[in-house]
Amino acid sequence: MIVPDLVSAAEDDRALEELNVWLESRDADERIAWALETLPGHHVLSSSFGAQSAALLHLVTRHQPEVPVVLIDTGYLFPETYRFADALTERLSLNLKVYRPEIGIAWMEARLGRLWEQGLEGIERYNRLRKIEPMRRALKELGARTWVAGLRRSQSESRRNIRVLELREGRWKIHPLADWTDRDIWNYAQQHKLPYHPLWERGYVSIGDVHTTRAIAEGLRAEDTRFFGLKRECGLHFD
Amino acid sequence: MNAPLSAVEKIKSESRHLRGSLIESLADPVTGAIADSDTQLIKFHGSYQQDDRDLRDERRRQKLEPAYSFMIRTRLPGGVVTPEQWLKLDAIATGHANGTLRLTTRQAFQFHGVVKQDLRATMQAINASLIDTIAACGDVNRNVMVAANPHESRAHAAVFDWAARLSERLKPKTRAYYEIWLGEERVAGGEGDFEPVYGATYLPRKFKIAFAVPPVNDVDVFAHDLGFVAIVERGGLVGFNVTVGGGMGATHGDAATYPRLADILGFIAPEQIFAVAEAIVTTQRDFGDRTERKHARLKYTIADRGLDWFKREVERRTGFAIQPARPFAFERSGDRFGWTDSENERSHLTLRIEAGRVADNSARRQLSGLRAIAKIHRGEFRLTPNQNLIVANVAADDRAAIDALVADYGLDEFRSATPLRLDALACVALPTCALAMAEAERYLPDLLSKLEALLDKHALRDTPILLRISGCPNGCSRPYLAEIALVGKAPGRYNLMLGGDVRGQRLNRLHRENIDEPAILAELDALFARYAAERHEGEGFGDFLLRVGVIAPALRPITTPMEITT
Repeated sequence: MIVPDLVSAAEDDRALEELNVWLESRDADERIAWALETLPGHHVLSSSFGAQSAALLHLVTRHQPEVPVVLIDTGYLFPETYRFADALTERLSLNLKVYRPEIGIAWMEARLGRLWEQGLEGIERYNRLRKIEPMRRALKELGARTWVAGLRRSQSESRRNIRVLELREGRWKIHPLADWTDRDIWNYAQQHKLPYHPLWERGYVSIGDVHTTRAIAEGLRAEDTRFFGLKRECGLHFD
Repeated sequence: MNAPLSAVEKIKSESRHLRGSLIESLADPVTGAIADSDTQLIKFHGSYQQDDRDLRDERRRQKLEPAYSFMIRTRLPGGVVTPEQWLKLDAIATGHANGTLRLTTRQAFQFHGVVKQDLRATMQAINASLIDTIAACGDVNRNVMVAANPHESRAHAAVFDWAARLSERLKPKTRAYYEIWLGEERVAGGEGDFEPVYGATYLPRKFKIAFAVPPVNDVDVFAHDLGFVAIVERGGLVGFNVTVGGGMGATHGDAATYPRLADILGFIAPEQIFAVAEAIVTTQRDFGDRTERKHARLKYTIADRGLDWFKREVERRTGFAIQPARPFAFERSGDRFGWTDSENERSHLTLRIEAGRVADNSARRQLSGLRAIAKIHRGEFRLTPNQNLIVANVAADDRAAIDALVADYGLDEFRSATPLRLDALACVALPTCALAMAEAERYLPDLLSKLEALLDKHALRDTPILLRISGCPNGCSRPYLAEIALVGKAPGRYNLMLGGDVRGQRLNRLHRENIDEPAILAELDALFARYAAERHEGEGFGDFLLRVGVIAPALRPITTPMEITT
């Protein structure tokens, strides 16, 4: 097939769809190679340093060791997450770029209370302040034209329809692992001897902030373990 | 919610169908200006009051009022004039105005520097040439643009015919123009004091219409409030795709204002054109914002209420459904220079007129040259949407004589100039335009020479690159569609916009804000170097900048959801 050029894909939904059809036929490593070669720089990789984050970090940095890796530090991550980030940064020689919200946690709580306990509206406000704002700033300051993220369709209902390549707020966004299952992640991690997040062993499947993450239990889907089941997405990847 | 109407709305509503106190203002011998309220109304008659901004400070020191003069713009659907009309317009420019004819980006003539005492005589002279200036400016449908070379096919001629008839249909019906300028007796309550389409307060803001004939998008159809893209099958016109809500104007530092590409509404048959155009114009008349003039163009009405709402409202008014858009494809905007032939065995010569200024100066004598051509030419002249001129419908026997005159008078720049120079556009700007923040037309030649030196350095001299410069963000030179645009910010300082395409289908993006010439040249030098080294075969500069990420993809990318037929 003829792969549409990037300019056409930027301006015509059908060309973007054709490009996605082609990308679906490649494996994750080929998608990453294509993205780093074809999509405009600067390329930026985001990671939550969550349960299964090591695979994408490993895949991308093998091609581009210096790629900036953005971690949004809400101030409320698990101690295990901070230690996992340190360990992976060391192990993979990551060019880690930590971005934090404008407002510190003590001040935010003094001003607005415990937003995450204030229902859906509070959670959304919390996410805007602690995640979306610093991520926007990160992408802007790093001059990102291309954003690589580890979203997978099997992670949740909300992610079931993601495309490999998307245009988001005037940027390319690529999800090289879109079609990977937990099993694919496991196999890759085994093959490359990559660590899982320490909380994975304790039943945490989607790891965010301390107060809005719980372990999986009988009758829960993975997506139910976040934000008290009120929502799944923090808003970084979806509007 | 209930914001007060803008001041201009009050002036319009009290104007008795555009009469105001223009007759009194023209008769006032004390000043070279007209009353403030009349400066709004005179636009509807095709004129702007301006003053020479080069002289402002000096006049102030001398305790004189500004050097007021008037610009007059013609209404000329598709920009077509006969040689006889050309000679008359030339005589008016020489006798009443500043000795130059200005061809505009909307296929009109402009006269500059007409003083008040001479205004009525000039208007009468224009009308004596069977050209008028009604609704050339103001909050009405303005000059209807048409793809520049209607004789290339049967379909072109049909498109031109529809455009001319639509122009007539949307012309204001008030007799004010004839009373004020041509001395017609006022018939109180007579016909013409009723505006069936516009009503007593006309439109909220200006309204622009263009007709394009693919594959050429010389009119930049997506830049207009209302566009008609001709759908041609087997050489015949079968209908139009209708585009709505384009517009170039913006205000620096005001994010609520922005250039916008038109949306494609759908397809209509030719005979539906009046009903659809009137439904669109009256929808904008009734729903456009009359409280804030910066937010009054159709593009904001559609952006605020949604295209689906707009389509339903238009269909409600027409009583019939608009069909799905038909496939079409544009290959490029701009003009094609030199001779072209058409199926009626006539030839057409497109001449480059830099910044549209037809004048005699030391370098070339274009005004005299075109006068000489007009005296022997048996076809007509056609103004292009890009400030150039076509000597149209030339018989084979006459070509040699016209070629000789073109060479004699220095009208042959099109044979040697770089593509950059040939395609460049500049608005009038200083010294006459009241809105200008920086030079445009007067700066263009110098800027082009400096850019050509850069292109030479990178062996890009023969590469077409679309450059447009505008003295302010309102965008008369349609800068936001250019691959490179300079938009005036302050004297000598511009916003550098990059990344439009060559088909008029992509807006460029702000690249550097408020920079001076050395910074502009340094930026472009670096980008030209990169372009020369990394471009793909046949890749345009704007496409290149988008591909490599110098500019970002648009937030609202899809405006042309048609099948790609190429």
